[in-house]
Amino acid sequence: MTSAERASGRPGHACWSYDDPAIFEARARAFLLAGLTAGDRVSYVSPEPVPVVVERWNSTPRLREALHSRAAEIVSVEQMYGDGVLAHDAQLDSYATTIAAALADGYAGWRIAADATCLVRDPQRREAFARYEHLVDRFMRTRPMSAVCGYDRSRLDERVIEELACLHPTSDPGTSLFHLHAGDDGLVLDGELDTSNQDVFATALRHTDSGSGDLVVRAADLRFIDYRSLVHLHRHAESRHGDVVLHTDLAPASRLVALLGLTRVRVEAAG
Amino acid sequence: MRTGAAAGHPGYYHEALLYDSDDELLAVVLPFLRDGVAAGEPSMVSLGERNTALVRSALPAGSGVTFLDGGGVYARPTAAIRSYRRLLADHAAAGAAQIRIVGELPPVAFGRSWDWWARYESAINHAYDEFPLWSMCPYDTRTTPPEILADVARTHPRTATADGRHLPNEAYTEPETYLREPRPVPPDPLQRGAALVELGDPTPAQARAAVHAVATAHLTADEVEDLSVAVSEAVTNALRHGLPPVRFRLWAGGGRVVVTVSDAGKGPSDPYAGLLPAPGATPGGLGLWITHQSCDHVAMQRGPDGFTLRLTTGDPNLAG
Repeated sequence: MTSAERASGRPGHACWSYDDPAIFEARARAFLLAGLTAGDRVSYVSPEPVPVVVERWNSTPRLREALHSRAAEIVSVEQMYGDGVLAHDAQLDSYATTIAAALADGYAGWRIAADATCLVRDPQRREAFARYEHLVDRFMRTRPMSAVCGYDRSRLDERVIEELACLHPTSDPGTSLFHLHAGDDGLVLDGELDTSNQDVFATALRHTDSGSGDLVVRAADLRFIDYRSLVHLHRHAESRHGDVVLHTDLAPASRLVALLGLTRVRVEAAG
Repeated sequence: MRTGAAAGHPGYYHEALLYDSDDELLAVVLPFLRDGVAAGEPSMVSLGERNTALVRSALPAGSGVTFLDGGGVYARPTAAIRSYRRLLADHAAAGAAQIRIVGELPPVAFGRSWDWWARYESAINHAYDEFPLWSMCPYDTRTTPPEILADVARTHPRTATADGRHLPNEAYTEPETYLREPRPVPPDPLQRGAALVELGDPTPAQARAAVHAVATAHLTADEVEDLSVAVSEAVTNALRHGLPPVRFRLWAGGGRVVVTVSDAGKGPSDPYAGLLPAPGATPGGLGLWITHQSCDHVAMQRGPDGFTLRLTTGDPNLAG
């Protein structure tokens, strides 16, 4: 159970990677069926033609019934996200409308499973979608919404998936050594940061940026951070004209900050 | 204007002080300190407990000599350089024409970790050379092993004598040469047994996981975290700057953990690697500098099969 799950009682925001689309769909169906059991309205976003997926789902009575009662829907990637660079505000506005409608119809909330592979193959769309991954992470922290994002390993570089997976509170093993996601008062950082992912971390800081001033990073579950990533935090703080307050109990963090004179990083107890 | 033997000398005037009695030590140290105070030069003492008491009792109250709190300045060579450079920079910025220091290494330095203190004694000829420093390093010839005294002669340009002379050491070797020589590194007794963990071409994360899995039973939590930092940097350097294959081995026992990280390359080309930070200038230099401050001993070994970095956390002089 993740901290986000503990806080809200919902599964939160997860990233899955797959080699076989059928396996992703099977996991998504289990995730959405659990949502139906919990009283959620559910959506499945597929790159396949919708009628093809509907036909498959109709062979499962519980899903057929849910599709019929509009407790479940299957939509295409284009329907959900459009076919250009994602417009963040409009996307989140539409989610707010969907959630409000679900609640008005008596559902407990909304959960969505989306295969987002085709949205991130083009670098420009990927950049927008990575930023969206953080914005929707922040959005769903305070709303009755859960989401799973799926990425196809056979069509995307490991590095591309890593850059997206790290922006989720949880991701499949092997996708990212760390996560940087939305928290109550800033960001939450967990996992391990070293030379293997320092560039991904720098990119994640950019994707999760939220203005200027001090930035609180809660890192109680951070298991390792090397000097390179602390330098990235220092530079990020400089760019925001503030300090990064890193809450961690890792003893080397404060020692490395002092050794390297990283004056923009304050290390405090995880608490 | 600098006074005394170092008058007119630019930069660091580094002397050994070989003594075999308290009287001989005091015969050199007392005038060195008194003359410094008289000339208005910051004059400092950083000796072990016994010799501090000896010098303190031989000086009058209010002598003007500063006794530096040991404070573990000689716990690790790299940290000692960092700490002394800060001290020297502060005095230089305050306008000191010369700074005098008499400082001795603790007995622990003369055990299995001597190689990195020998590197320290050599490297500081360069690391302190931007300051008007005159320092004396006392060595007790009754207790210091002869092989260490040989290194002392090669790392100190001069020796101060009780009769007031400052003799050039013929064996003195410039640090750029000395530091590139292979250093004899006595094997840790733990290395006679089979390694508890052996990994081929590990990722830094796999190496850290091995440290956490084994070291936790032998070290404090903070020591485990610091060793993880050192191991992570060592493996990163081997993978990035060395040649394959990279091998990671770990031994534990007797209150310490020993890790070796080896590769088939030649090791760092910078003679000061590990002792001075080299951000940007030397590949892997900053990581090695951090490694040297995250363990209780770091030994660098070059051989026909490649380069090995040995990291020890816990007392490197304990048996077993």
